[in-house]
Amino acid sequence: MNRILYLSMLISLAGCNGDIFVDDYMPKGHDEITISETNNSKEINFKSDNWGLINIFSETFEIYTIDAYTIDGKPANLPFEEKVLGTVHIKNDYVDVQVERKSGKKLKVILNENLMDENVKLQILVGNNFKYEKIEVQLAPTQKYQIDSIVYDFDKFETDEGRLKEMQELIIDNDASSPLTVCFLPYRLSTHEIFFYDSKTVWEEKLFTLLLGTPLPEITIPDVADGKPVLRDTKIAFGIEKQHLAVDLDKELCVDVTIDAFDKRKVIVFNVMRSYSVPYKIYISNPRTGKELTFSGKLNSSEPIDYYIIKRVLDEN
Amino acid sequence: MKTNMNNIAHRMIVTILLLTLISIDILATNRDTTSTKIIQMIGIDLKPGYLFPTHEFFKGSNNAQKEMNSTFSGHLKYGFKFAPDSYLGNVYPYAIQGIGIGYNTFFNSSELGNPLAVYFFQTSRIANITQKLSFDYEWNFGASFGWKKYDEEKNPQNKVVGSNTNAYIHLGILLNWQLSSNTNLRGGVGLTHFSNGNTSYPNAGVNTLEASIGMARFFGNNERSTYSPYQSRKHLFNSYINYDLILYGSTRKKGIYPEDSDPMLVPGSFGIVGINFNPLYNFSKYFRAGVSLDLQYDESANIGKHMANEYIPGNPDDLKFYRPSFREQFSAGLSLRAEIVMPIFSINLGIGKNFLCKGGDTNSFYQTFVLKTNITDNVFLHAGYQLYRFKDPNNLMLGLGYRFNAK
Repeated sequence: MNRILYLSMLISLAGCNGDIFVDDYMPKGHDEITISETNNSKEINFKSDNWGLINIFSETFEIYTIDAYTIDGKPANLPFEEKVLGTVHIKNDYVDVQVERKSGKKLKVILNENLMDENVKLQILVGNNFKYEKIEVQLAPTQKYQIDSIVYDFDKFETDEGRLKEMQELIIDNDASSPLTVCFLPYRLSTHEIFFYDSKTVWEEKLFTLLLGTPLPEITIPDVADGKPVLRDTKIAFGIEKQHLAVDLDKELCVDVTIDAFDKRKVIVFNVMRSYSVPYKIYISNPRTGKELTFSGKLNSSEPIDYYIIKRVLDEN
Repeated sequence: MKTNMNNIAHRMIVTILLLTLISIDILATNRDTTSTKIIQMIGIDLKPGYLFPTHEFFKGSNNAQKEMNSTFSGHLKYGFKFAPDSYLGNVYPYAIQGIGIGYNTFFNSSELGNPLAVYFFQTSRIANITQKLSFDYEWNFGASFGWKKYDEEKNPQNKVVGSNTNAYIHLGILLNWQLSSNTNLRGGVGLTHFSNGNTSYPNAGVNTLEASIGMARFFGNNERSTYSPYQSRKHLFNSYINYDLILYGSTRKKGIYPEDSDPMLVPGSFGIVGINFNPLYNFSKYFRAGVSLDLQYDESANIGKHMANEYIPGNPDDLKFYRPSFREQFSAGLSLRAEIVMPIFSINLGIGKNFLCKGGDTNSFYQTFVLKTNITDNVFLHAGYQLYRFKDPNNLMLGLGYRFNAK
């Protein structure tokens, strides 16, 4: 019986028409996969190794870079030829994904970062001479960055006092035969203005909300005491270019201004401002990945410390 | 690749022929322990015939531009029958088996060739008509060599024969007139089929209907003995069931029929392997029947649905396929089998339906035509052919069988 078996096996082997067949590396396509930060990598298994990594793209974001490398880490270009191993790194400011083909039948997708507030859809195109398959990957949002520290360069701290900021103006034409007194509220609209400035780039609030989440985290900014910067409890959200803080002044303070009989004046209310500017560096990091980022610029502050009112004589012409 | 496959098929045919010869020798000499006598025979037959115009090539689409509808063959045979006082001679007194060669012409040698057939034959009596005249049958099974096959450049019109070697199958009915104790005159009609079992394409097949006239001369005592030590055994046959287990293989070619495109021949030959388990109830010494469980793996089955090419290529060599699942390549069927039992050879005919299958290529009724050649009481050679739907050539079934409970 063994001989019969061997004979049949030989006949069978002799007849195999293997050259006519190509392996179907993915006979039934591939279901969409979702990767989150709790399990940040997934392997896609193939039935065979006769495929190549053709391209990776996303409809969710438009601007990104793709860096391809050989298995030895040397720069390469997509598409990869059939059976070629390698790694592809796709990233922009918010998304960082790595696609690795380190063996013939496996493709590993590693989610490093998705700072978008929604799932990012990634499409991985693989194929050979006979067919292409699109593998859809949903990348769930990952943890945001946190602010580790802020460093002010007080050596370059600059301050000044006395700049007037016009808050209100009013023309009073007193036709009466007796003086007219009007109440002005010089602090009614007063705010402490904070302005972040980065000479190297246009401030993008979206960048910071995606990096740091909403609400944006707060940082302590300097106050001024005796002409010197001091850090107390004044906090602002970091990421918004221009902010207005409430001031510790009496908004109901009423200052009477009297206009003589048959006189016409333009009353202008000023806030006397104290300003400063100081260079800063903010260090943020991602607790999950340990990735660190630094932002630098100049913090400008301008706050009212007094008021000043003038009654200007109007030119009759 | 193609040549290799043809060589493999040819080697398999030759191997089976040789093994069959050995088995005949073994059985002729050892089957009967009390007698080694055989009665030898030499015969000659001439067969003018009609060639069925089953293809445009025969109808005039050939180089000669003439209708091909006639054939002629001459046959020389050597055979033997078992001596009347032997067991087999007693049970099968009219059975003659042996080998023959036949020279065939279709009167277009430049395009079709004049193939020489080498074959086994067996003939026996169906009924007595008078004391000297009987109604006989004869079958031939073998290989025919020397065909001129289709060649795109050298023989483009012949889209009938795709290989130099083709199987040769013949079945005839004869009137057998005993002229003297050692000489018979035989004449009759028969059908002959030449094809290669889809081992290469084209394989339209060549079919003929022939008249035959021939002489047979026996050497030795051809008179039936009045005494036989086995005479009483005729009445002692007890019905029983034997179980044939067959393992076979072959190669085949495959054509595909893509939508919106011409049919294409797939390059290379595909493997086939199968197992039959066939319990057979022995009604008599001459006939048994039963049901067979037929398992077959066909590497080419249903590949038409798994073409890898996005577009049909212009060159068939560029055709590629995804390998179908095992379920699409494997089939299991049940067939009814009837077997005519003669010395050395048995002819087994079957008709069945696959019950476990997936895909159009295997979901079908099938028919089997098998010649079993006994090597020992238990072991036999199996040479068969399977058709689908009574007309579509499917594959050869060349293998070995083991008979359990052989008696």
